[in-house]
Amino acid sequence: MRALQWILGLGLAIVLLGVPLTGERFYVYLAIQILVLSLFATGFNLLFGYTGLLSFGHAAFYASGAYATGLLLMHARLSLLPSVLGGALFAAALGLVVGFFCVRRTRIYFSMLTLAFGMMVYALAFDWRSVTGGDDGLIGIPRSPLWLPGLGALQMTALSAYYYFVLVMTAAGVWLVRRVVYSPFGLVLQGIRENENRASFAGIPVRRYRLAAFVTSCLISGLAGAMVAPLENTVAPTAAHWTKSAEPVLATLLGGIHSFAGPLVGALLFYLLQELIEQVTEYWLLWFGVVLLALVLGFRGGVVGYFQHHVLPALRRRLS
Amino acid sequence: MFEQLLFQGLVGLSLAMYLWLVSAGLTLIFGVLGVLNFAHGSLYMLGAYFGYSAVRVLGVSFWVGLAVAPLLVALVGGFIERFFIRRVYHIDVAYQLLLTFAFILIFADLVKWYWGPIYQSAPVPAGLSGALPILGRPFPVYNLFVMALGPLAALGLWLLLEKTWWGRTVRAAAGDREMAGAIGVNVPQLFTGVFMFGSWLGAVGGALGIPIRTVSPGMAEDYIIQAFAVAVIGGLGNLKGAFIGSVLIGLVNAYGHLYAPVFELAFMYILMAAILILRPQGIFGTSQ
Amino acid sequence: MSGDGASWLLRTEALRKSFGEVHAVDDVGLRFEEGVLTAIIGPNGAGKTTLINLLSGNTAADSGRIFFLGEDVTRLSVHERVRRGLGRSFQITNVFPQLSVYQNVQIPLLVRLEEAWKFLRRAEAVPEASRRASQILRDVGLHEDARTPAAYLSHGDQRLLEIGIAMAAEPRLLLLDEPTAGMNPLERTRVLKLLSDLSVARRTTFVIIEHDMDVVFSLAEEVVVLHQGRILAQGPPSAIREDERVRDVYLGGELA
Repeated sequence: MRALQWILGLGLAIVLLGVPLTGERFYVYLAIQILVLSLFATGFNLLFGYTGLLSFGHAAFYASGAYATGLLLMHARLSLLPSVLGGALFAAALGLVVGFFCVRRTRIYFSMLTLAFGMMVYALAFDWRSVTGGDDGLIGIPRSPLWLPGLGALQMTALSAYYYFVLVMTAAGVWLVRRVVYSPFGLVLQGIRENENRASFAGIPVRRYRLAAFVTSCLISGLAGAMVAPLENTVAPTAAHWTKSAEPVLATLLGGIHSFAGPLVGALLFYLLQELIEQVTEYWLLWFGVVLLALVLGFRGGVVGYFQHHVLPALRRRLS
Repeated sequence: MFEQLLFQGLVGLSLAMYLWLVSAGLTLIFGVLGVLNFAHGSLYMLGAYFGYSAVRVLGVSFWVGLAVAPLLVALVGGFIERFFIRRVYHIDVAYQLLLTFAFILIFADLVKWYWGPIYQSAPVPAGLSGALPILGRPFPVYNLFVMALGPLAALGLWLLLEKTWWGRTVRAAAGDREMAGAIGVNVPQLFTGVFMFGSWLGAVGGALGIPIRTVSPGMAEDYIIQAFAVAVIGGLGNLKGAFIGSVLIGLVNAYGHLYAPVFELAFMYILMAAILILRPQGIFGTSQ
Repeated sequence: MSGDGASWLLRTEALRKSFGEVHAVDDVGLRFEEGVLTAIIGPNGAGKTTLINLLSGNTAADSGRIFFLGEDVTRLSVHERVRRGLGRSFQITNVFPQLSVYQNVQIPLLVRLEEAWKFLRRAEAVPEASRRASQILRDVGLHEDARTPAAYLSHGDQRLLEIGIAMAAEPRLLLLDEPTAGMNPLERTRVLKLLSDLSVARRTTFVIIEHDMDVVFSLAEEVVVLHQGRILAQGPPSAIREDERVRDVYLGGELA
């Protein structure tokens, strides 16, 4: 079993590192998008799968990260890494403010609050022309070089170079969330999800933990969005719209909310599914809706959950 | 100046009555079934599209369209409740939300596929066209019609829920599902009926809107958020609250448009968030 | 009976809570001494659950005060009281269903050891928590089920886990709301033995709300009788059994 995990991990590393070597610009671009969504979904699932809070407004933080990074690159003329980290931190700060209000309520009220705040950010992005560029958004964001001590300024204009940057940042973000999830803090979050009342009676200040989870989730989602700004060289208000908020929800459900790998697998599946559907029809929203229906009605554990509960035991029986 | 204020207030009230018609259905469904139907805006949109088709394509009068379209949507609503929502009553609320969310996606594309992505519109029905001078400005007669319809609908709903056998049964089932079942009420069937009725209400709102609002695939989103805001502010599940909430939002929208158009969009979300934070049971709800 | 100021853990003054017209708890002044296992009994509607809710912090009192270990805790939230050593278990089983038995007790232990905030180290890498968790599971007899998700335990085992979770927070005083509710005689004996052993082995004082008179008279050293929100009688079990007022209230039913 462990050997299998090592082999899979190694294979995955090889595939990830080797993507730019295919020479196909399209694959590199797609891979970046998958990495970004997997980070976005991982951040989202820290809040949903582990803490039990369903947010319908997470695009607000994704977009905030993107806008902040864009502005830093355009006006503060910072190099790539500080700009991206600055975007992520801005999203976390916004998360602190929004989360402070949202975690006071649970279940339906929490979800609706996140929806309200999410749309508020969208409305702001749309209306505040002087800062966000209105419905045109930010245009002409430079993909500034990555300055590292000892190595100087590494040019990121080549898509492949930027891909490796995204890969490293995504890996770092995912690693961070993984550490959190397996830590005492992560265990407490799951306790809160399972039984909030019991958690209080274990001495846990539930609201504070929820807020911490919320802020961490926003940091990660903001980081994902921050990496998109230099990729596309533009950021538009649609990045904050509720349809964008739906992406990590779908990806996570597809992959499986109850496992750590779920959002990662789900992000890959999301794009594969999207590509597949777009080959056949332009109405991919429709089919995503259908897939979501199927997941909610029958496959609540997602693909990973299905694999763990149906495929693995069957395999074990065959092998023993 | 004062006249402008009053006039804008009237504009706000007519907006409010549209909102009321849409959110009444949402509120009823939540109050009785406990389900927050994200797809309610989509049903509203379907009402508009069916009505539009009836008028523009089949050539029937606006009134026939208004009568028929919501009935079709009620059937759609019944289908959704019977075969999908019924399966998720007993699991985590998050999945109910996700299920109805899935329908938003489905309907958005279905509508685009069948009717095309462009904006459509239909003319105001004869007899209600034109404008009346009120306070020195022209105010559309059609809006006055809707403004009259709103309170009528409220009255009708009240009568239905308070005075009829069906209404009383619905209220009993809303209060205690199991008890109602125990005394012989066919609760699943009743719930389907309520869902259909709520969908019908939303669709009426949609169909009524065709003469003055453009019919487009994006309309579901705008209205669902506003309907949520209304429902939350009035108190989720509380019809009286939804009525007052609609008036509030309608006025906020109208005055916001006039005095602070930059933040017009954001105002409503801010109000909604404020209520959710400060008094989640809304103005008229009772605290849990 | 309760020595003045000597060793009382929990004390209330003129505690009141009403729901509309009903005075659920009416001017209750109680003292719980350390090491004295106390039972609170009373007919249905006497206010037992409300009282325990007030003591644990689930419900806020209308008036009156609650002192724990000398500190006024009336305004403190649930988790703040737990941190000070005032714990509670529930009548309806209240565990973390999808988490393993081990994780169920691990959580309050991590909180107790002030490790719950750590977010970069592994939860398993807190040796003291692991040691104490294993100990508690052994005490309640669930050591073999450590890896089982709590939801898959039998009802009786879940009640034991319930006590285990409450004990893991290492309370000085533990309020137990009908610990034997819904149990068959075998399970009940197990719980009673556990409570008896725990009260000897650990520094926890138990205050039990019970309906079952056998439980009360076999375990309790002190009995408090509630009736219509007020204290009707208080004293050792033998005295309570003889008390006429108590007899009247129970209409000669359960005490005979």
